[in-house]
Amino acid sequence: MMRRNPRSDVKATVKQAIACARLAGSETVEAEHLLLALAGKPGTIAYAVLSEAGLDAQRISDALAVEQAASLAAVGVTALTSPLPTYLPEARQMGQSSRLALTRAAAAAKARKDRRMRSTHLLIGVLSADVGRVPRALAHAGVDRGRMLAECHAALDHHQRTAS
Amino acid sequence: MVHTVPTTYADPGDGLATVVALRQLADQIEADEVARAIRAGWSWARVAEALGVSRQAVHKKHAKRLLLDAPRKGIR
Repeated sequence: MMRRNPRSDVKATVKQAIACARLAGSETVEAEHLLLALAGKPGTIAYAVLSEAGLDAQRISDALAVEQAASLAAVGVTALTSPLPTYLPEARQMGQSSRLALTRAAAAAKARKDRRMRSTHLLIGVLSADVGRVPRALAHAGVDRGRMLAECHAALDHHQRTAS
Repeated sequence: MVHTVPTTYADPGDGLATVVALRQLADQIEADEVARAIRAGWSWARVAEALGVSRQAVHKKHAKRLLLDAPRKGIR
């Protein structure tokens, strides 16, 4: 599980997030697409933490859809959109939420004195947001963000101990 | 002034989430309807006028994907 090159680990996740954004019909890559990418990549700590919380890519997608429907329902809008977008845009740039997640991931790695950012840090970055689509969707799914964050840190601590 | 949005959001985050969801929905409807208009033979100028934006703006936002889609959907 830990033998992957961490840098390629993060790179591959971002690449996958771009694909997730495209499939979701989004022109920007957002934090939820990073989360979907992490949930679709078995063999990583991030995947294990998400699985432990019962989150796979499908459940995250469902939670995002529920969140969107609830936010629209608040103003009386019932979206008649199909579950799959009818066109697939090029996700051309990182959106603000994914930039923040990456910044927070890097800050978490630095604060922990981890030499390299890996996908676990990315998950920490994504889960650190208090507002926005990801925490709202996770709340709809009844998932404890704080607990997942703690599990990420515990797994990184364990890795640090065994590596030294 | 007519208020059409609820003023009873428990949290500002709820209201802001509605804004995000409405933007996503608007983007999706725009993408679908622009594609439909162009397929139906509308000019970019007409689409732009209907949307209330410049021809350049609508072309920049949608032309590339629609032209890429052309072989699949019969757009010229």
